[in-house]
Amino acid sequence: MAAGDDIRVLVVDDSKTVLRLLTFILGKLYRLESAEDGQEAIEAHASFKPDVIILDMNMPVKSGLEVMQHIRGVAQDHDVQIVVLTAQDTKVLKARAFAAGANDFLAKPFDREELLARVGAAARQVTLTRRLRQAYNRISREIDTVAGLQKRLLPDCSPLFGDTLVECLYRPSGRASGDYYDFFTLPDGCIRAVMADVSGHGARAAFLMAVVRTLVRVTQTHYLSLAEMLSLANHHLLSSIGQEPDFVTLAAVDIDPDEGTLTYVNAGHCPPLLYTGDRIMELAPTSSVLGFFDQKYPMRTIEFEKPAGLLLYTDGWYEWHTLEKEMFGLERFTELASGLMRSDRFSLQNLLENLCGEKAGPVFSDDVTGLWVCAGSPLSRVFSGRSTPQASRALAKDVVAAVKAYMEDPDILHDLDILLTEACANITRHAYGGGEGPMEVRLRIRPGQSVDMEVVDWGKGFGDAVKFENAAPDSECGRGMFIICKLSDQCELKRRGRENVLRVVKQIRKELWKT
Amino acid sequence: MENLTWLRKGACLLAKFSGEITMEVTQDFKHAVEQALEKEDTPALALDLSEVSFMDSSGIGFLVSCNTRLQSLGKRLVLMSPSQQVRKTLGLVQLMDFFAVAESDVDLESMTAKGGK
Repeated sequence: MAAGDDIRVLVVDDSKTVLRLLTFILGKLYRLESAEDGQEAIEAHASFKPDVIILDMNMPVKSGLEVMQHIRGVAQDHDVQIVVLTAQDTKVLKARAFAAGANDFLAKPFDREELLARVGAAARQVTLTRRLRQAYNRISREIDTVAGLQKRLLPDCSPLFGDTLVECLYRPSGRASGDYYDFFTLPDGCIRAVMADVSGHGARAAFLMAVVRTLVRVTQTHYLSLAEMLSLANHHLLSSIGQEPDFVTLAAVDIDPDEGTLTYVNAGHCPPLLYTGDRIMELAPTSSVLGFFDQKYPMRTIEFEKPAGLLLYTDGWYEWHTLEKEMFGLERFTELASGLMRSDRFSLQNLLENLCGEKAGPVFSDDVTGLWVCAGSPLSRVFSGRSTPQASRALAKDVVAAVKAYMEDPDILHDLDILLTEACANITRHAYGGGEGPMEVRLRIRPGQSVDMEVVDWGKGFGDAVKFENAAPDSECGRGMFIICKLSDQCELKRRGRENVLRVVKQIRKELWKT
Repeated sequence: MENLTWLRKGACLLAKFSGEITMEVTQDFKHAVEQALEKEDTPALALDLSEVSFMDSSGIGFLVSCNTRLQSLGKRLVLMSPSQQVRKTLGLVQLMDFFAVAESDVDLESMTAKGGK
């Protein structure tokens, strides 16, 4: 096989003699196809997908200029090398041809050696472009792998710890990101929540984020205070990136919902907002960023009253430009978030929607990450009971009554009543093998959006016997799950530790909510 | 059984229940129906469900079992004026057409007299 065999060359000229000559000279070196006018050239470009086009300028039907305008403008092919061939070797024509997208020029009558040299140069360019693309694709796949791995390091659920709900939102600006958030329970029952931002973007930031995450997670099993956790992270960052411009901002809190205390450290991170007792507190930095120098990390402890909410976020939330081309800014963001937190309708989704305003949403240029920890909110409640028939039905009614405070549509309330009664009845019938045991409904109301429910038991689990299909008309049982699925927008069964969880989401139209 | 009253409508035995039909009551309800069928000779049993405020799949199961039981005795089950809540639950599992439904006394009379649906 000749060297240029994988290069496709399209020769276009309305003169059969020129076409024959071009075919004779180039045919042994390249895969060749020919066209006799501009229209044929456009069609051959679409079907043959050439790498190089030798293009005559003056042709019937469509001129060489029009062909180039189509290829570059309409077909958006900026890779094909176009060598223009014409008898009019004028400066004006050359300028027009280059402006329309030509890569090279060859005057008629052409010299065989010059033709081979120019097509050879174009073919080399094609090979280089291909290699570049392959390299780019390989790197791109690697970044995708990094982004995929990174995503797995971040929690993606909104669990309830007792009466404390944690909600997260993560929108990386690229594929891999330097934002890190996390939450977990400590051996003493406190909830540790962390928000960090590694400077820069891409794979480098993602790598450093993974380092920080590993060090933070060490403290889940080997207890370290927040100050010790930051010292550990700083120590390792100094040894790896101490001489480089990268740094990490990090805010972390330990929340004791039962005692109503919150301990925090803030290493140069944007101040988390705490809502308690109808006021907003900003948890300002207590130290400088991580990764620059050795320092102490003082902790502060504050008391809070329920309901209380804590918003941890990254600067991507407020570092974006409005339509008036000014930075949205931390001050406006804090004001907006505080207003929503006071209204008891706060959720990260709600915050994002309010940020979007009426005219146009923000075009975020950075990663946007948020963590919302909410203790004792009426929007997040846990209802507990035993799995007797009476208690089971009463539990469903209590949950529906709690929703009624926010939404009074009788049809929707009836739907919720049926699906909760079915879910609780399933536990009564099946979870404890004929005996009784504990059950819980964890309710999360998202005003204007949805009601999310987790119906939980600690029994023997679902096994393979769960039926999601409708039962036969003369069957006396087996319709519960079918009804639940029918009345909800999302319905899934899962085992979480020792818990059997039926998670159900019911979307509710905005206008049906109380204002 | 509370909330359950029995009366005669022509040849037909009618049971009127008000309240919720869930697994809390279905066993008692089944038992009451069995007893009534033993005592009373009737070609059909009508269940007046006009005042049922809530019914779940246990209630459906109860209705299906009543229907099967009556069929085995060569008798009919007719649902009398089911409430919106009952209709909704039956509609969800596509069983509204499975049961014979009477909307009025006249309906019930003609249905039980002809022995047709």
